[in-house]
Amino acid sequence: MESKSNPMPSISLLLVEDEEFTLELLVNIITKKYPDVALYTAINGSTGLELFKKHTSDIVITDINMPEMGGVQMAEKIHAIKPGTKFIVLTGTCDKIDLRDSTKERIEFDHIIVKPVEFQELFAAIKQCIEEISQHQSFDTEQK
Amino acid sequence: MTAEKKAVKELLAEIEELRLHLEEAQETLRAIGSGEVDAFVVSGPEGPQVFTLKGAEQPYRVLVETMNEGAATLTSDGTILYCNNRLADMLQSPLETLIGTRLDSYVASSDRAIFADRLGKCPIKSDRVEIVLMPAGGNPISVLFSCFAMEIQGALGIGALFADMRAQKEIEALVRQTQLQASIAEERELASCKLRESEERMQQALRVSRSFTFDWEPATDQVLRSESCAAILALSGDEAFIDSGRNFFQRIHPEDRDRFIRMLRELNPTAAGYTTEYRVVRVDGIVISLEETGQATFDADGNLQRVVGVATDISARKLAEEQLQQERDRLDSLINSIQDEIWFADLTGVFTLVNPAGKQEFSLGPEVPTDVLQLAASLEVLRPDGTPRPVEESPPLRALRGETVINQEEIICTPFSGELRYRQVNASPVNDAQGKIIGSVSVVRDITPLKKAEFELRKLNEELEARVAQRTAELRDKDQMLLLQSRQAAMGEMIGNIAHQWRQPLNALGLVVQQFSLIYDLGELNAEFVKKSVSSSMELIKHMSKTIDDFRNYFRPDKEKAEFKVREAIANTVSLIGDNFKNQHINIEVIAKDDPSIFGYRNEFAQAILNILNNAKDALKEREIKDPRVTINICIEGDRAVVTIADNAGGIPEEIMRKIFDPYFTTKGPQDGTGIGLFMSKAIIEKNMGGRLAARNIADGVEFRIEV
Repeated sequence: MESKSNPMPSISLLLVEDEEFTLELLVNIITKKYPDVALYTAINGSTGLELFKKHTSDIVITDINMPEMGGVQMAEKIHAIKPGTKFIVLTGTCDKIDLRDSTKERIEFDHIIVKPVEFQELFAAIKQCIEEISQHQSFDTEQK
Repeated sequence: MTAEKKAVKELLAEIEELRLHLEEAQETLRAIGSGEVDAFVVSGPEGPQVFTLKGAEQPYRVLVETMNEGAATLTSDGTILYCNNRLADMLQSPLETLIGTRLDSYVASSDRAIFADRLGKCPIKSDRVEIVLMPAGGNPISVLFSCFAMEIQGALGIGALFADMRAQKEIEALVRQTQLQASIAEERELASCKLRESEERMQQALRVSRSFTFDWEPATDQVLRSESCAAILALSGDEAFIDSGRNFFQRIHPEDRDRFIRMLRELNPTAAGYTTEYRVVRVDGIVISLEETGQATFDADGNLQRVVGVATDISARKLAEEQLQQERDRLDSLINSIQDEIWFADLTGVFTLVNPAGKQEFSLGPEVPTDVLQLAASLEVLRPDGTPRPVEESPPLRALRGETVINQEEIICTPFSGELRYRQVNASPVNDAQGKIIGSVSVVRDITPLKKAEFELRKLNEELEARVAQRTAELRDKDQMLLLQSRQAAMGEMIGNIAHQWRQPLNALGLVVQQFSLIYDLGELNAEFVKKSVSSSMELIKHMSKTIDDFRNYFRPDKEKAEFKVREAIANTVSLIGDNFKNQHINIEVIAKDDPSIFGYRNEFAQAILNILNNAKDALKEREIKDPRVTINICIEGDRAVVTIADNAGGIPEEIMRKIFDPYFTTKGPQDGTGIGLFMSKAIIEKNMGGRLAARNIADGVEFRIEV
């Protein structure tokens, strides 16, 4: 509703989730809410990283516990590639600080959402990320 | 008288003599003429001469005259017609006197009847009979008389023979005397033999009694001794029998010598007997004890003449006496030194002997006896249970009645201690050799310290029991706590597992539900969406419900033992933790070579397996093992089911290997481990199922082995 009223900048979003049914639901929801966002999906960290390298998404929404490569590991690598990338972490663990500490680079995850995921929280996080990206982009353009 | 007168008288006498001769001659002639005589005797200057008449009979007469027997011919009335000279000798009368006299006048008056009888019977029988003749000279002569009838000048006459028995008698007498002498000699021999025997017997008796006799004569200082002294005094040769008093005194033990000599000096006629003991040092060095009894004799002036007596070796007796004395001394010192009280009572119940311990306890003076009744009356005596004890029950009196009292206890406030003493009494009757009771002996032991210790011990025991009970309760509490903790830990694990199992479907369900609102807002809500969403929601809910059921079944305590398949139980367990292991990227492989069954508690068994798997998972996670792996093998060995669970987490250090089954032992931090898992597993497998659980290191990890 809100998003519709404000014209969206071109935003790219990477969604990584190993549980297929959950991934399908999230894709369905996010495309419904943000139809303009370019959405890429992966079922583990390593394919997620490959996609990121290809598309350089602005926002990464990722599960933590996944086979092959977990969310934290992937986040570190993405952060190394593009430090300003926004991270929204979906986790089963309650303790957000622990999660933050678990990263070697002490990455500041922008949003940590504890499962089960509530739409309002998820949407608010995505909205904030988009706004920040928009401000940054407009600042950039102003600078230009 | 005048010669004339003498001549006349001589002439007259001569005439008378001649007249008598004439008459005699005339008579002789008449006798010859009548045949009354056949010999006559003519007395001439050469002595009387016998003249026989019948010359033809001359040889017989010579025979008769030379016969050793006296012979005579008699008239039937016993008048001697003729006799030989032998008979005349026997009768000590001249032949001329005998002829014409009656023969029986020479027979002893006692034999006259038998003589007459024989004469009367002679025509019928003639046997010899012994009679005594009385010669004119005096001494009677025993003769053997026989007679026979004969015809003398046509008339009945008698021939008589007398054999002189004097020689025979003399011989007989001699023989008798010789016999007598012989018998006397025999008697003497016998008597001396008996004397010898008796002497020997005495010597024997002396030897056996280890005694010897002695005879001392102070005047000569000679001592004579019986042979038995040789062995006693160890003397040989003559010295044993003949000795001097001086010598003997030297043998006496120096300590006894003076006393002995003094005693001998003090002997006197009014006190001549003595008995004394002294010691003798023998030549072989051995000291013996002698007991000597002697008797002194004195002469008229009161001087000592002789001392005779018997000495007996009493060394053996002395030794026995000494030993007895020693024994008695020992017994005395024992009785005196013993801490227990000892009371000897006589038949009347009077204590005749009490040892110092007893005297002290009852403050008795040295003057025993003490009456048991009196003693009992002065004290309050209680039975062990505290009730008064009647005096009849007192052990000395019971023992006097023949009872043997063993460990009878009494409580007495004795004068010495002044406090209640627990006493244990043993008493028994004292019997004489015939088994008659002559008293009783009681031994009393003060067991107060023992009793006190007993009380203390009992108290201590009670306290100890209470403490043990308390401790046991504590332990039980602790056990229960342990169980609870273990259960809670398991619950925690399970909740974690459930969380893992549910997180995904729960998240998905949340997304499905929230979609409704989103789709509605977009105006895209339609029947197809609702149907699809409900269907997928129900799918998720059923899955979650099944997960709950699985865990509930898993946690339901086994009500009773049952037969279950090991493979199935393990598969079930693995499925519960599958998501958890999957999230950790741990690969679990179950290899079932066999499909054994176990009779027991299925869920407990699964719990044991689960604990081991959790342990492996934790180790793999902690050590960040690359390619973590758990392999479960199931097989049958013999009649046992065997399950091995191996990981590749690098193994357990040997120094803690033996501790891993201890309760509360953990290598993990406090929030991660309770230290109960493996302890519980071992308890379940070994205590509850009678199996065995062991762990060992293998190449790249640890292997747990369960045998049931």
